[in-house]
Amino acid sequence: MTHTPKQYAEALYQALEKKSEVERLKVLKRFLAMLEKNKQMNSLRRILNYYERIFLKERGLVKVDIESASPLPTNVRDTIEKQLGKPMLVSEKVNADLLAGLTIIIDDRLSIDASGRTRLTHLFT
Amino acid sequence: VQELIRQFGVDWKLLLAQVVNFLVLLYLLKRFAYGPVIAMLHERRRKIEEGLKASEDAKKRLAAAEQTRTAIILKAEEEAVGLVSQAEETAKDQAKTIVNAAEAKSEQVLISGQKKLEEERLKLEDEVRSNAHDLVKTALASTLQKMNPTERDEALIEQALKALKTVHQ
Repeated sequence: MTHTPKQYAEALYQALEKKSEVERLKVLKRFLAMLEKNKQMNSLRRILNYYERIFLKERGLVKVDIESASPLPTNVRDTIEKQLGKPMLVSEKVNADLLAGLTIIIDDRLSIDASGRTRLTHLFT
Repeated sequence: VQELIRQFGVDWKLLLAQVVNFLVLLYLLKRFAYGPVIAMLHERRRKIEEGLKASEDAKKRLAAAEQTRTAIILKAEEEAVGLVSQAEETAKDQAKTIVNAAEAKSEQVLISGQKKLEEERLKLEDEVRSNAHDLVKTALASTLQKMNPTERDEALIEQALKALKTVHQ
């Protein structure tokens, strides 16, 4: 019987919950072996994405990916967290190709693009 | 009468002999001379008449042939004139068709050329515009990269935070 990536992710989350570091490693090894046996390794990326969502949801966290043209002032992160009203799992990255400004992606869905690159592109379309 | 005959010296016997001689001579002449000669004359006459008749027929046939020849020549001339005029008409029609086709072709070539020219012009305009955009974009990007990051990003960060606030509410 085959399972959906979401079902694998839920099972993995429950198996890893409240386990020590050593036990988690064992669980992960067994999980990967099972995927290999069931020929589901090509679904691993999707399973991990679901796992991340479950993990963040269970802990009440919001995933925020920030990409900026230059390192951001510290208060920006605080302001974002304040506006979201929830603790964040933040990933920050400096990308000079943005030319100016920044992009914010929340939970892989909501995207705010205030980059110079996008403004320039819009200027000529 | 007898006396008279005697006075004339007629000897009945001699006369009779002469008559018999004459008749024999007449018969011989008729049998061997006059007959063949007359037959030959008749034959010659017939031949001459036939020759004359043949000549007449030949003349008539010649005249008829001449008439036919003249008629044929006239007809041929008429046909030739007809053919020539038909050929002239055909040639005129063909010339007109060729001229019309050439005009249409030249018109088509002209239109095609104009269309191609217009396409080239638009393409060139697009290229110039695209190049100008690229140049301006490059210049603006270069300017943005040279600016002070804090001053440069301040407004954009503020806009992003405002947008986040609006979206999240």
